Amino acid sequence: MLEEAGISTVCVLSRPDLAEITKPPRTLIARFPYGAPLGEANNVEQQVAVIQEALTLLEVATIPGQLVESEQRWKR
Amino acid sequence: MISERLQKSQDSVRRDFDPNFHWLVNETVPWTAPSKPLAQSTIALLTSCGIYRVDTQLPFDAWNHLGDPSFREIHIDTPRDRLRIAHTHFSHDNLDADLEAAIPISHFQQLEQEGMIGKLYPWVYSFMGYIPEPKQFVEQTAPVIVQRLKQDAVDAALLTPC
Repeated sequence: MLEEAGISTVCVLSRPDLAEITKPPRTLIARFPYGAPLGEANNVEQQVAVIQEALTLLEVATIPGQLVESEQRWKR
Repeated sequence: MISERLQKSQDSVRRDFDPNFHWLVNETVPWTAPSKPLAQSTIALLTSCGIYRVDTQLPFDAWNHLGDPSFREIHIDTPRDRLRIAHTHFSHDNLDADLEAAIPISHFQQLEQEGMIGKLYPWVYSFMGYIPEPKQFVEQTAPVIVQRLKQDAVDAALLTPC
């Protein structure tokens, strides 16, 4: 609906199977627990890295439905 | 074809909350290529983590087995101690300690200051991620949000589910 209105979107999901059924235009897979979509609490470096990955995907993706795996790992 | 894990969660929701629940499987991928560089774009934050402002907004109805299809508009200057999480289907520990992990307002303000993005849209849109009966959300809630974003010339959005 957003895309149809001319608004490009990127979402951050924790599992690819959710993307397989919802088919977002651009998805960053950050394999974090539920309740922590962008990373560990107060881990600024990690959260900013995830955001940068998502924004890069927003800017460069050319294939609708593209999934990219984040390089960030949950350590706690 | 849904994954085994999603099949199990579908069965569990049917058993415990909504016997009619089924995952919506989208057939097509919506797509708009960005119309301008990020450094000139107004970007909005949307989340399905069920975040709301406790002093001015009613909480989402987390106990409704059919889900709560409403949304909340949260200004980016809202003091963080006024925000709460209504969604009950995940641990709140991480977000209670740091809401930036779901609504990265400070991070995006920093990106704006650095010129990496044009502007952070001043309103965050929050809704619930548990909506097994999504008709009202799709037909009423989502169009209102989209209309507001479009009206204010938002170029792009980041979505963070919980």
